[in-house]
Amino acid sequence: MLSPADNAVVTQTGPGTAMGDLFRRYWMPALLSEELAEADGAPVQVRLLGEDLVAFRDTAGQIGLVSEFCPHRKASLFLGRNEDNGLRCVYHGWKFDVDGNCVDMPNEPPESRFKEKVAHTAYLCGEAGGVIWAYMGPRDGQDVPPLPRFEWTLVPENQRWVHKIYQATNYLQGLEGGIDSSHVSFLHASARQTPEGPRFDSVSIMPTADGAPRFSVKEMDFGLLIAARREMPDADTSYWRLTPYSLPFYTVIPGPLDDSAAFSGHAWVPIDDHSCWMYTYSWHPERPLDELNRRGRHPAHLVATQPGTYYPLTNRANMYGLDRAAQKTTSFTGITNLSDQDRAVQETMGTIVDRPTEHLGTSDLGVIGARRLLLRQARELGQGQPPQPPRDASAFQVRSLSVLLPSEATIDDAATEFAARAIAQRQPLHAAPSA
Amino acid sequence: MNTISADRIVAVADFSVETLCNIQDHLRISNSFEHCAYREAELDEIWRLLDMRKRVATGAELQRLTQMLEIIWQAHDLVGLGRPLDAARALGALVQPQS
Repeated sequence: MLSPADNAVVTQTGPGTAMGDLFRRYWMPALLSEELAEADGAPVQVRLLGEDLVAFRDTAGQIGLVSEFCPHRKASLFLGRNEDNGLRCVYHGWKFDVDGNCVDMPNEPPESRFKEKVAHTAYLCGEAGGVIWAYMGPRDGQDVPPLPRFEWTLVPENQRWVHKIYQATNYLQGLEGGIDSSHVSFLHASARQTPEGPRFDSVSIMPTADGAPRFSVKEMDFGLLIAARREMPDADTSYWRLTPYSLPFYTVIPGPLDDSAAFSGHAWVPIDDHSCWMYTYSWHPERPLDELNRRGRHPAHLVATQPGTYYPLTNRANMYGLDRAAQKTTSFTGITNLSDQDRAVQETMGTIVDRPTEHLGTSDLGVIGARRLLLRQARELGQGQPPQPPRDASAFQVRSLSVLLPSEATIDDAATEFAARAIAQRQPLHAAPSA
Repeated sequence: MNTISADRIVAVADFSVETLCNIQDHLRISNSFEHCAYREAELDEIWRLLDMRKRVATGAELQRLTQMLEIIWQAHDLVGLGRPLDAARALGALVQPQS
């Protein structure tokens, strides 16, 4: 549970809010590179942390992310002309470059120097991994952190997939689903009939592992390591699923015990307090994803969307295609796509969960830890202490891990194994060999 | 021999004085973010047991459970703020013998 005050703080990310201030200290995915594919192409409306913005790629290929509304008479710059290194308002012709400078003001007398005094809101942008990133925090030089070095942004293009879909919830509901390892034994289970009655098998968990994991957490330089430990029938080993939660809203999903599958994870980027973009990234550090077939792609990449958009065809209006017959015979939920299963439970909670009335327990430890980490960081920033992870770009270069450890292993043992196998690759990928 | 470890989550099966004392003892030796998360999870377990019981309680029991819930919530938020000793003190109201 959370107090009403804490629930408000942790879920509100608009301008001037505590969590909004914190998120603005991190680089965030703003849109996919494919949405701004060509120089001088059509601008794109972007809503991020409750701010209405317009993105454009100028003649030189630079990306601009500016307030949607022209500072003159507040006309939408989405209607504007993207031409000759700037975005021109169609109302009176004011033109802005990617830094928000007004570079032309044709409706003013030639001797007017007013355009030099106009500063339009513009945010820093970077591009990596097929994503256009935005930094919406303070811009006084040294305060701007480097672009995060997620491993999926560093591998060649044929070794990653990145996509996004719309989710009609606050970002935190998505994130909490991503770090709650116990739901995978149920929500994502298949069903089959046996003489003893229906039986449910998780598609993500080793079938011999128990369904009630014990959780532990460990604070790391990227955020939080969330460990779910399941006992194995042999009693000599335990099965650990180690999920990295990277601040403020990134996860990597633990995969199989071997390295046969790609890594996949999500970011839940707030559009506003009632909706978010769920980015899904899949990557393999060495192999092209096409070689991995279905093990190279997270189910979220396969969610059908309305043509020309990132809005899923399955949604609350059609109850995510829920098939009651399948629910009785083949699937725990009756919903086909694993990603739809997640979105179904998260969206039907309402856009912001009423956390003061929920009933958490020790199996929700990851959720509890993540909320507290966010609240603590927001509180510390309010006291003048900026968050640490954004300063270290390599802290984001982290994988997940599934591993069998001796039954007496502790969270510290698991964290040591994690450090050796999931973050030891923090050297620059594909660096030129030294002489 | 003292076998209390702040790294271990207390098994919560009820909201008895013994269980609350156990959590209080663990709060007193908690000194990290992780420990506070474990203690908060334990208090969440207590809270949900109390809240479920409250739904069917009446009269004096309802009043007692309402008071207990308020104290558990207070301790929960204190440990959430990284103040486990204050949370332990708050729990004191529930574990001291009634006069």
